[in-house]
Amino acid sequence: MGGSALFQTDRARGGQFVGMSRGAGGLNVADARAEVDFRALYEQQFRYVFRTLRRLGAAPAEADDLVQEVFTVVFQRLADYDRNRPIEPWLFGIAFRVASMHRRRRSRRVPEVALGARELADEDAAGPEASLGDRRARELVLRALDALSLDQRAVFVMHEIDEQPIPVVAETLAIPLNTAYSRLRAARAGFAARVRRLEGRHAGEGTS
Amino acid sequence: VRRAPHPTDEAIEPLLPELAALLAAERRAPPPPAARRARIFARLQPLVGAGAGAGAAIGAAPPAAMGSKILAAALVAGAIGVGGAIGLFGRPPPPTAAPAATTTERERPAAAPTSPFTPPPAEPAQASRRRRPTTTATRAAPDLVGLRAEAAILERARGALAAGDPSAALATLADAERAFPRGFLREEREALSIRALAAAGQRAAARTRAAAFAREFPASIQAAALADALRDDVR
Repeated sequence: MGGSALFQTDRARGGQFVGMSRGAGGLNVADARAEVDFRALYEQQFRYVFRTLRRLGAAPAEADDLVQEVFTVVFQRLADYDRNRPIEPWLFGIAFRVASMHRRRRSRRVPEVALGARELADEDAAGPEASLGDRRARELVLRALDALSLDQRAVFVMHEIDEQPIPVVAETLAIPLNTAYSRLRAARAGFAARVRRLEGRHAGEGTS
Repeated sequence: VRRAPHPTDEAIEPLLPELAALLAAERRAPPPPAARRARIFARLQPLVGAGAGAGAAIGAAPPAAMGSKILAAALVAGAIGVGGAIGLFGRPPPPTAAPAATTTERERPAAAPTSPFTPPPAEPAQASRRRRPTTTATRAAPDLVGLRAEAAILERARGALAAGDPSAALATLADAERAFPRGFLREEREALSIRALAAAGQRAAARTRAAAFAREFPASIQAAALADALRDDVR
């Protein structure tokens, strides 16, 4: 195998990679990895991993380290990746684990704050002329997500932003289906309340 | 464009339109600049190129904030002896690798790849010094040497398991447990042990250990694979 188009995503099939072949007899770890174009995977999934980590609470200054950590794990586990399954939940599971370990290491939570011009330029290839409305909305989303526990946040992000069905969310996070549903309900309420509060404050109406 | 709702999700009420609009904006978030993407990949380069020589990964200076975790992962990959890493790019990796810290400034803000599936060629490394695994290994701190040893034992066990010798794998894993009872790669060790037990036909022991594994590492991404290993008749 050679070539660089090994990691083609087929959105119609739920975003799994196609083209990562494995012989019927099974390959050893090194062979499987050799067949895999890690660089292509990185290029293709960088945005998803970066945004997922930000949505899970990584501060802008921490994002590089955490993206690096996620792809390090990805590299290690590529041989175990089942190409018949969608790639995003697999990556989300790794990102969630990295984010949880990071939160345990970190002594305090870093609240999501509005980005300065330099951070913004590094965060967002669209540049400062991009739609202000969209940018403000994204900022509001990340700040409102801060109202949630990491467990609730993961369910909310995966279902409401990534649009993954709850059974997939439950499987990815290794939680019972009912737990996933109850976390989603709690997360929706928490998110909505924080958005109202932030919007109220923004409009100078005071907060409850 | 929203995906069609999953049948089991039909009972979930739709989000308020204003919240849905906010989330749609986040879904549309543009990617970070290509320069940042390249900068982080440059930091992964020592790991990806680890197959070029055993222990090469240890020569990479991990960023201070990440410390041993990244290094440990790099060590695992290094110890796994990804001789095939050469094949990762379809050609041998560049003979030199730039130290991560100084690569940043040199990264040109590369244009996005012409197709999302066609990555741009790797940046040619321009480092002035060649990484020398042997010398960097001797400079490594003792705990890093320990990590490397732990990774090497696990890799031996993995090799034995892959070669169809689960008993040898189990013996090696027992060695690893004695030598590194609280090792950094404990999760990997436990997962391997469960697979080895299953492969050796000790299914009850495998299940007991898998239950303990699930308690200790509830969010492990290996959980699904382990469940599969226990469900099927393992090779």
